[in-house]
Amino acid sequence: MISVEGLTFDFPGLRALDDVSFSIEPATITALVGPNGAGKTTLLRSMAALATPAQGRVTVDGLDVHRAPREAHRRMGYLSDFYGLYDELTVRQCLAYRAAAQGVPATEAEPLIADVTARLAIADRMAQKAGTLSRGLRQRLAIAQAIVHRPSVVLLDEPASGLDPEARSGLAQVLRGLRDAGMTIIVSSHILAELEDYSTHMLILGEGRVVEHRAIAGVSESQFMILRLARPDPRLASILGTRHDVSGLEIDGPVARFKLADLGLRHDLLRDLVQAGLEVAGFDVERQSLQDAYIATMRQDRAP
Amino acid sequence: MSLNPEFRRNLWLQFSPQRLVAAPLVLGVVFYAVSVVSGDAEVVASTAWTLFYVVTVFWGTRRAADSVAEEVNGRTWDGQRMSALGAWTMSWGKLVGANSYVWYAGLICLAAANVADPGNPPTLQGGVILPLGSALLGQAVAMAASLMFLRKRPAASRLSVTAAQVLGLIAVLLASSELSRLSDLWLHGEVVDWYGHRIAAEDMTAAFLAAFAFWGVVAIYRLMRAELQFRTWPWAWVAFVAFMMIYVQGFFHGALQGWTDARAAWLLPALLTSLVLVYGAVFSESKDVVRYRWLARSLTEGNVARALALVPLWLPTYGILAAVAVASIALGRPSLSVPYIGEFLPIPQILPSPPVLVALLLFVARDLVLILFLNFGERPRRADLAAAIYLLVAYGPLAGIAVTLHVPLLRAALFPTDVDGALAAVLLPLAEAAVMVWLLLRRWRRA
Repeated sequence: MISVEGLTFDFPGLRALDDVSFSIEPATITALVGPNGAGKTTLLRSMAALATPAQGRVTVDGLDVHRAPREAHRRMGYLSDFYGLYDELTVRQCLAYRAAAQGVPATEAEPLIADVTARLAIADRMAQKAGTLSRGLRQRLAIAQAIVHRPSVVLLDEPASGLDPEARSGLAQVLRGLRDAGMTIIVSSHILAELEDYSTHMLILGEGRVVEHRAIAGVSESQFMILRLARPDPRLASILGTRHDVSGLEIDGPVARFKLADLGLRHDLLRDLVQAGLEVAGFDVERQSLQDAYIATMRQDRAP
Repeated sequence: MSLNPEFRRNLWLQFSPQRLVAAPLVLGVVFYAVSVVSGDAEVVASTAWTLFYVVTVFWGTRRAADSVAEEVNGRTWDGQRMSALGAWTMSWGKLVGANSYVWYAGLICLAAANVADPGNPPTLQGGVILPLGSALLGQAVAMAASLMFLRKRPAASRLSVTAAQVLGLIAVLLASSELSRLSDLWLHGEVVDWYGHRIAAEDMTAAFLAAFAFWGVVAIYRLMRAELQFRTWPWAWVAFVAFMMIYVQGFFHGALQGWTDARAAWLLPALLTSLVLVYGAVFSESKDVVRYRWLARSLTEGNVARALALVPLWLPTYGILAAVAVASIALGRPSLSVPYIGEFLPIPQILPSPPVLVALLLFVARDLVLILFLNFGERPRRADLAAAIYLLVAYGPLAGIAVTLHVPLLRAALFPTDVDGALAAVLLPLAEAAVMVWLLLRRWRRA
């Protein structure tokens, strides 16, 4: 669906993107994350053919976006971190303009506008001027503008910035709906907790390079086990330390963190600990949030 | 056929029922009041003309310059660039659409001006082509300038909008008959001598206003193509340089006809035109070091298509200047016995010698490299202003001092002249250009 090959982008005195390559499957939501200055916005703008890279290629359905930017834009929707609305136009006019500007024939525009306004729950605001909408509604209108022509790819740069929790939750619902409708979505955001709600993949950028790109399914489960005793027990270290299937052991008071060679042997380990008289209060795979996974990956990347 | 979406959007923004009624109502009241007070149809027509120019040229240039700035400041520019509209659709939709209300009010004034004084009806040129051409030219230049500033700096300030508007106004002043009439250089009464043809001044001005308005629209189209990320080669600019050379040459043609032993003089207008346009191009364009790196890389890789899209406009213009200079050298300098041409052009005194022509090319090269050197620095924001000041000081006060004090070699070091000998005329600017190239390469490696 989307293929990025060897993308390099320079600003004077700064390489913003350095040989970035990845591909994205259709009908997925990729969370584009990374620290400030990692190159997220530059990457999105290059993918949207709003900025021309020094080197590299971006293709959408096999179409080189920099060779045929207009054709690519018919297939893409882009929402910048500023919503970019015409405050003096009504919601209907905003959407009618965008549909026409994206090449939607006049006869097809009306049903598309009706569909997108229903999907984003702004159908009752059609006659209202964009400048009079609340921030949450402006964001919905901006997304509606980005998808009114039913693009196959949608790029969203910080869409949840400045939204209240309820509006964020609504955004997650909207994005899941778009994915279910077959759109491929890339969302850049700093708020990882929010991305966790709807993303299927995570692409981490650091200093203009791809640090990690993987499916989010499985991210929440790390390779570590967490064993918690009712109270600290000196035997814990000796029992775990002598087992060949345990590695990376860290003990902090009543809590032990370690890797188990075969997760299928968890019950054996638990039985041994209980038989040894240890007061086991908890034993499970360590759960990680997307944020934990991100921080761990970034630490690993920065490690010398 | 559906209406241009960009034009339609502008109509939505520009027109409301109240505004639709306001323009004819207010203008009608003004014309009626003037008519009642003066009782003179000529005064009413004159008022209508004045209002036409105020509305379409003064206000219109402002609106045209603002049309791009408003998009940038309103954060809607990226949305526009993401649209599937072509550069031409976007260009005319914005140029005419952003000024749709201006044209609405302006055309009311134009109609009033043409019919207010039936006893003294204007000609087609004077009553229609000249005013419409002036308005379109001013608006096109202002919008093109606004796009040009945007490419230099991706943020629109009120200062850049005002500068774009001023450029639009200057373009109208330069091209309109009023300025031509200030000089009787090419005028023989109300007739202009252009390539030996004696053309009525009004016809001439109308024709060239229309031509320059066309070039203004071409400029918008080309800049819009670049904004929309299309690969844009510099052919349109080269064609414009050629047009300007042909246009300027026409005024000298008649005067130069008889001077067959001053053939190099025939190239003097082309030389001066290309010289002005080299500096115009280099100061108007963005001189981002990254773009120059891409150009160098494209050339190294033999990617001609990309290199042509990245080539700065000053480069082909400098090539044209060099070609004209070389042709002038080949044609030779006339003897000092050639008398003055017409009443204003002392050919022997101003026709440059071969060393001066070479020096001229070297000085221009030095200046171009200086401008790039300053732009490749850590603070490129004010690099063009700094370069302009340095060059003005070098060619103005410093050159004046050198001439006044008669310091040997100083004159040849400051401007193209062979008063200190041909060798000095060439070697000094060559050394300066070489030093500037060395400095530029050092900065290039570090940037």
